[in-house]
Amino acid sequence: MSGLEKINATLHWLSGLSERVPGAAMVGRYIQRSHQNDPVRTALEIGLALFAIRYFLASRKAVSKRTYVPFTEKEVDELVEDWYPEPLVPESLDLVQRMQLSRNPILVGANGPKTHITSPPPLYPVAADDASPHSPSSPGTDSASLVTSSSDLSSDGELIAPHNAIPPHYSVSKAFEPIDYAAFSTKEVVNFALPSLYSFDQRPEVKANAIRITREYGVGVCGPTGFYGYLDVQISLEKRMAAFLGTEDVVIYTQALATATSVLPAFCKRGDIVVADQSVNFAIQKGIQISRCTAHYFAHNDLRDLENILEKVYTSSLKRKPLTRHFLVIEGIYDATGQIPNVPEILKLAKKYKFRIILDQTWSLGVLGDKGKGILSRYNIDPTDIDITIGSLAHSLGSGGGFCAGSNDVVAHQRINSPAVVFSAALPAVLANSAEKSLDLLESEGDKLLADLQKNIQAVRAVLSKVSNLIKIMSDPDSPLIIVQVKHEVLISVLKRRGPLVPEISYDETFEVNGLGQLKRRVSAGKIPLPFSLSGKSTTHRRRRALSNSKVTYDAERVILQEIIDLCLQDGVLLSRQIAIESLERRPIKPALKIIVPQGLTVKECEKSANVVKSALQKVLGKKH
Amino acid sequence: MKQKLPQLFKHNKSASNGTISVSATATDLNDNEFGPLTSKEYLYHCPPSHAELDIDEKCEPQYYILVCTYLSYLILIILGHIEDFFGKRLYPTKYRHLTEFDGYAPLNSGFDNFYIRRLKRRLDTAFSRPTTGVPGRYIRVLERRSINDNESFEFTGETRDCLNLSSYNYLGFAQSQGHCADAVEQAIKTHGITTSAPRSMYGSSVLHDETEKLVARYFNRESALVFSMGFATNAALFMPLAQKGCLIISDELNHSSIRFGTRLTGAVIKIFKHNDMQELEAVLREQISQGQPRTHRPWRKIFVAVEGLYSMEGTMCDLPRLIELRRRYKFYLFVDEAHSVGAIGSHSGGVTDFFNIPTNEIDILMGTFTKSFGASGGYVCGDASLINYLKLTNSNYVYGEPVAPAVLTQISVSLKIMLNEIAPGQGSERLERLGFNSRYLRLGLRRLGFIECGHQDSPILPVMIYLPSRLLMVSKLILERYNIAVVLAGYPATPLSEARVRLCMSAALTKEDLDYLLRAIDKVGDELDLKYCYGRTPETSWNIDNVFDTLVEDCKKDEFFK
Ligand SMILES: Cc1ncc(COP(=O)(O)O)c(C=O)c1O
Repeated sequence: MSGLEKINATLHWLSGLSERVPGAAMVGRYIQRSHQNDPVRTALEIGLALFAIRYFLASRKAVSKRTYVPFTEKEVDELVEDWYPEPLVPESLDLVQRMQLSRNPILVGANGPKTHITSPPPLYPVAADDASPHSPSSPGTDSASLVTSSSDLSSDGELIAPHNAIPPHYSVSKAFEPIDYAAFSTKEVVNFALPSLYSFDQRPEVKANAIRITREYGVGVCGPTGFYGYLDVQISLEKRMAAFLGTEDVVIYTQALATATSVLPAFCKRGDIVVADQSVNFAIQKGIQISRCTAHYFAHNDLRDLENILEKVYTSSLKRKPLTRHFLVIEGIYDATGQIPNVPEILKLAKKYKFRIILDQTWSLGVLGDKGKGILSRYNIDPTDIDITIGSLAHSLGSGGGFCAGSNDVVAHQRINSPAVVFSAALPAVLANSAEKSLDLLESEGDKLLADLQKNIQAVRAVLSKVSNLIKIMSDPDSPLIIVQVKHEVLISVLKRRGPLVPEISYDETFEVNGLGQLKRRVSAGKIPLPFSLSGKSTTHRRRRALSNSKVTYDAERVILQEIIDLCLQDGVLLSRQIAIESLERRPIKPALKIIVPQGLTVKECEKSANVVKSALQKVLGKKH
Repeated sequence: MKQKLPQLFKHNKSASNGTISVSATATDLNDNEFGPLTSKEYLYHCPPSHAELDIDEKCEPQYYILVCTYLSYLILIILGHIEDFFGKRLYPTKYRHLTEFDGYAPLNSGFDNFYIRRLKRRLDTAFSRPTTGVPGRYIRVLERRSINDNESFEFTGETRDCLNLSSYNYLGFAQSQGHCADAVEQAIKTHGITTSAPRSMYGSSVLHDETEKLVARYFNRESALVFSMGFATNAALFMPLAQKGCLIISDELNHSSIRFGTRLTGAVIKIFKHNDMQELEAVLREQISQGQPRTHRPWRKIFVAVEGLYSMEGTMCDLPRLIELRRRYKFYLFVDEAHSVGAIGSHSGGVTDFFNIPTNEIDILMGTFTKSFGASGGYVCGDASLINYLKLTNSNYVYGEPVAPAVLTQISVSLKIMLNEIAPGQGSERLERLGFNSRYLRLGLRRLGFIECGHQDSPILPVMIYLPSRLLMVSKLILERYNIAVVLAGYPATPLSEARVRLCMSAALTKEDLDYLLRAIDKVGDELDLKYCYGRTPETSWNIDNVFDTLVEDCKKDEFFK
């Protein structure tokens, strides 16, 4: 009886409460009515409600509980004892990786269109009293030890003897042998690998100015812009850059590479949609990845494919409320291919399908358009039509850092929401000021500088086009970044002639080239790079299969390109190839030579150097050998 | 009460103003950048080894303070929504970027955006204050004013020289004169501004090589790499190391750059409570025994990521305990020494030095040159195999711009000074001044009744304020009345309710500067009722007139920090 009384009392209290809580009366009425109609239903509904509450409270735990295996403390101890992690880094590097490490000379002095290089000293910096087990006996400094040291690259401290490292079935490439870069420390080499196209950073007036700034500001800024690190030098660069580009405002980043990776997550959130060219650079890829938005990629520079995707996204988004943000990401000159997109057409499409454009001007700033104002100026596009422009101070401007330009809202948002702005020290005054000086120089001498640069580019391209039977130039005619790919059939014939140069599997993947020139990823068994212990039988088998199916491993291609690069260097021309982090890129990067034509050479010098490249190409790829 | 102020500073290069300098750095400085040492008493040498981390209890504020804090935010949020409600209807053009417009979704939305417009803007006068010159002992702030409620600012053309407790300048290397600056000048002359190309494409110069060897030697590791940005060092570091099937266990207060870097990997990320080694061990035991979710396969690798010194709390990681756990559970230990390197340990080697633990107990030792060495950028050191692998797979090395020659030179000369290879004696003096200053100010603040948190030897001294309204007032009063620059830290760097003022200690400050600072803070504390712990215990109930009596001796004794 007393139980019933209590229930009654509670109900009374509840109804009293329901009068005070707005809306509760309605709920009460609902319960009353349903109860009158059907008590069973009430019970059912209460049950459902309880279940829902339980579900929401426990949903997270329930999932993990289901797969949770209870162990006793002792069992856990045993499991802990038995568990061993994989090594922090792969225990051995493969041949091509070692080749890459051994092909990294260092600059003796300033970097410019002509420069001096030397071999890197031994890799092991050892304190005199440090008896670390890995340390080699004594890092010498005479040139003989420099020669050995450049091949001294094994991770476990032993010298690599290149000839021993290669299984007998493979032809030995010179690219695996050590090079004595120290020989070039007295000889000048022409630098076809210089992103600072105009070498503003080496001009006496810029240097003098940098020294003055050091004497006024010191070096480090000692704080993020939010915390007393917002120097007047930086403000003035921001203003200057905004005026140069024709946007409302600009925000400076401390590193060019970090810019795009930080800008994208500042605007794109989970659920937003990004459509990007499939060849966008690493920084953008990672920015898209970390923003956790939905990403679609269109075929490189393919407007038709782009429109298809935009239309699909647009129509499917119409059904959804509220609207999600849509971004279209392109580059001014693609780092991967040197190609230039048709921005006016892309802009039309973007407007039609309500996409905002994020444009990466890393390479196009200082190269295209009136006085190097970039790709928008080249196409006479109003800069305010592009919502977000990303750029670098470290390329043609010859300083360091990156920037992002846009409307006041876009920039103000980043100052508080872009992680690399908020959580990192500001750009050193010296670099900010030098970039501003470079802008001044572009403005005052831009016409002549750009014309010189174009002359040099055309001179190099003219020479290279003479060997178009061997190579394909991927880049746009105006791009100072010239990407040169070896033709597929040429590669096949070189490999047929020489046999495979490296084991087919060197990273954990091989790539198959299908008829359309598109690449398919084929993941092979091993995850860790295989050591070179493939048995003779399987390798010959593999070799036959590889050649008959006209598959070429990228590694073999890289070795061939390195041979070309080494030959060029012997004749005094320094150039590079596409070096990419295969395991982290979204899609495989086709190996290619990367020639960057600087403005500071004469046309004659450019022709001469291009001829060096041409004859190296002929020598390595041509039929005569 | 008439205060004894240090002579206010003119920006000139004249020698010290009457004070006797006993400093080894005397020939090397401009008083406005680096104050002269006035007595050998004002040095503190950190003992060579600490067996364990002493954790001191933070004094908790009264209950009503917390309630008021939440209430203030509630009121601010409600007011903000009301403003937005009317604003959107009355001034649609102003709100265009916040509303759907012409088929475009708003560019910014969500709470962060609301927070910035409606809460943070009220504090904006205290953030992003533009400065000029060297951020040394004094910092020159450019005065500005706003006529539209902080939407934009204009410069008044005046400047204000402030005692600098805002910059990360622990060892006082923010200087435009002296060994570093001279060497930097030379480096610019011979190397120019940049080496331009990424390191993987011929952007390395002999300077990079020398600096990396020096960094490796400084930390007694095999190899090192230097990168042009500290944030990016962390952002790129984990990608090639932690793949799918790996686990990263991260302290909840880890810096945004570490969170950024770990989120870019395919690894699973677990968080443990700040510095709670028991919870870390529990997570390790559970994860190792359970294996990967669903499949129960063993984890491929497990990483534990911690910071040496936490930048918002001033707390130190429990390295001795971490090393024990690492032996037992075989995880790879990552330590971010951004704030601890240079500032801590008897040889300025960071937390490993402080606890006298060999650096090879840490698999990945990372840090930055921004905080202690007056430079910029970050480093990673470890085994040669790690560094070689990073040369192939670290995006900063492969794609990023290299560290500029000027910055490299600042790094290498300041490191050599700390190793006493250049200007012997100067390095240890800087370190000992920093040690003294940190402890002096910390004990002073504690005795006056403020809630400061962090480790006793930490050069970061957060002073808890809690209430957002007081936060703004502190910054305003202390800057405008006393010419002292301090940093306000609030959301998103700290939890919403734990707003604080952060004082960054520097070897460039003199004891007299700190006395002035204590007097100023005491005044402000009385005025705004910030001494939340005043009167709780005799130790926290000193008043300003006698607090200085024994502070110099007491601050060198550990027992007063217990
Ligand atoms: C722990 C930690 N790591 C990394 C960084 C980033 O360093 P930087 O400012 O040099 O980019 C910071 C800076 O605030 C930090 O506190």
